[in-house]
Amino acid sequence: MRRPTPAEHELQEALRAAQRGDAHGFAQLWRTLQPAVLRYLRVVIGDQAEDAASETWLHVIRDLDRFDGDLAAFRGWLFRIARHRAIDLRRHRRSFPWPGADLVAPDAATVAFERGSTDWAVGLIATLPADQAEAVMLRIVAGLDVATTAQILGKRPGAIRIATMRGLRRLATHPQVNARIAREPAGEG
Amino acid sequence: MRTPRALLHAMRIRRTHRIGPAEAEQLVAGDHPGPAHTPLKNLLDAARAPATDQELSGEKAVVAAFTAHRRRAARAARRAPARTRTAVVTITAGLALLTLSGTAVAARTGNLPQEAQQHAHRLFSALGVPAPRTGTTRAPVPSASTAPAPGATATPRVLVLGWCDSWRGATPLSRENRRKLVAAAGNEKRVDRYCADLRRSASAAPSGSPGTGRQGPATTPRPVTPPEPGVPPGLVTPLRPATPPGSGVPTPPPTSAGPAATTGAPRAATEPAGGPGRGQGLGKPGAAAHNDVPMRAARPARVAAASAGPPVRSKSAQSEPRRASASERGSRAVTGAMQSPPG
Repeated sequence: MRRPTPAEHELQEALRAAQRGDAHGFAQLWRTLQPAVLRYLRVVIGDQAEDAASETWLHVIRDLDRFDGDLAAFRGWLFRIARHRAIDLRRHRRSFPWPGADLVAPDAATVAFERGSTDWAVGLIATLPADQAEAVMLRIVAGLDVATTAQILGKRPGAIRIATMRGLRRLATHPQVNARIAREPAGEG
Repeated sequence: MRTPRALLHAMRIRRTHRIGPAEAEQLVAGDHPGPAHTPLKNLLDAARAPATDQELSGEKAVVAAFTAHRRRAARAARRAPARTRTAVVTITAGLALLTLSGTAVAARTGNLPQEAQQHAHRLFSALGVPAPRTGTTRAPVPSASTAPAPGATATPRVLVLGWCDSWRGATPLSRENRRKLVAAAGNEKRVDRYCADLRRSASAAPSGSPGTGRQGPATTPRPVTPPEPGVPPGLVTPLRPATPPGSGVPTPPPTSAGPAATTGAPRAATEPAGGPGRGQGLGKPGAAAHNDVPMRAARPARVAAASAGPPVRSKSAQSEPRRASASERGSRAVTGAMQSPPG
């Protein structure tokens, strides 16, 4: 993801096409980036991730012709929008709470354990403290570099490195990680 | 004993699973830092696995939103020239308004070029647009205010005084001049008073500069001196037949100016007194012109006749010289006007 691959080049072209108004270019961009956005949002606000992702892409559609930058800049822009939409939604949810809305993380991990490995992994990362979970998702799942991640989260690059490392350490000692390994020795993906 | 062993075990576990910065960066980059971290590596790989069908189920909706937005944006872009046109129209209208109002102010204050001022005066004299300044002096035109300002040239005053006479009905007054007279006075009711003021100021300054005209009769006891050798005193000041020419002005105020000026009496009340007063009023400016600056006074008279042209020159003004031709110096309308009342 971080190396300039043919896929990256193709995606860069898709971004240019989308900025010119090409629906196919935009569709390709969306197909490539939507999973990471959705997973990141699931870690940040749980079951409202779908709504937040929709609002994020509507924002992107609205401001895409004003965006100026390459694919890496676009990634950073996209996840910054996603984070802001998530924060807005969380604020809104706090003023209109419904039961069980904040009990996502542990239950989601347990439920996801029974479902696909991706949902399980994301649910497990969501059990981390918020700063570590966000750092791990943005750096590993979204593929952003330290500087962009630090910019999005409003922290210094050193703090991002430390948060990532601590999150990984905590995940490594998580009982479910080793338990799943025991169940599926070959691993996934 | 059991507790230390559990502690040792935990430490060993911790040591083997301990992730340093280097390992963390390797994991972030997708590399495998070693067999000890395989479970974590699997977890991370699962987290960044390719998209599932469920995750991509909203593609149609989002692409439709993209297309709709693009169409709206294109329509808005096509509408942009209309916005520009609106802006241009607004700016043009604002500039036109500015120009018009500026011209109106210039016309009202009499600052237009002479030709344009004449046109503006002809069209809008009812709104108080003054006639162009004639001659070379910077003095304001008498019609600019109800009372002639100090320093006004004699000739326009003579013209206006001629209109005043015609207003009384002595001679027919053209509609043009009638309107100018009314405009100068302010409204029709004030014409009499205006004419009376004009006459009084004219008669008050028989020999000095017109600037002393407004000081009133009592303050200008200057005797009238013959203006030119060729002009007999009797011709210059035949205004008050009862008073000798050299005795000075102040004694009696003009009969017509008195009541009209003080009481603002209606026209009928001042009508009988018009005869002698008319002669008085018209004689003085002429005398002043002769005495003071003959050349200056004579030149504006001609300039006024030439520049004002037919619309300014009333029938009465034209008829006066004709009647004046009977007098010795028939070339001057002033003397003609002086002579006409008795005749």
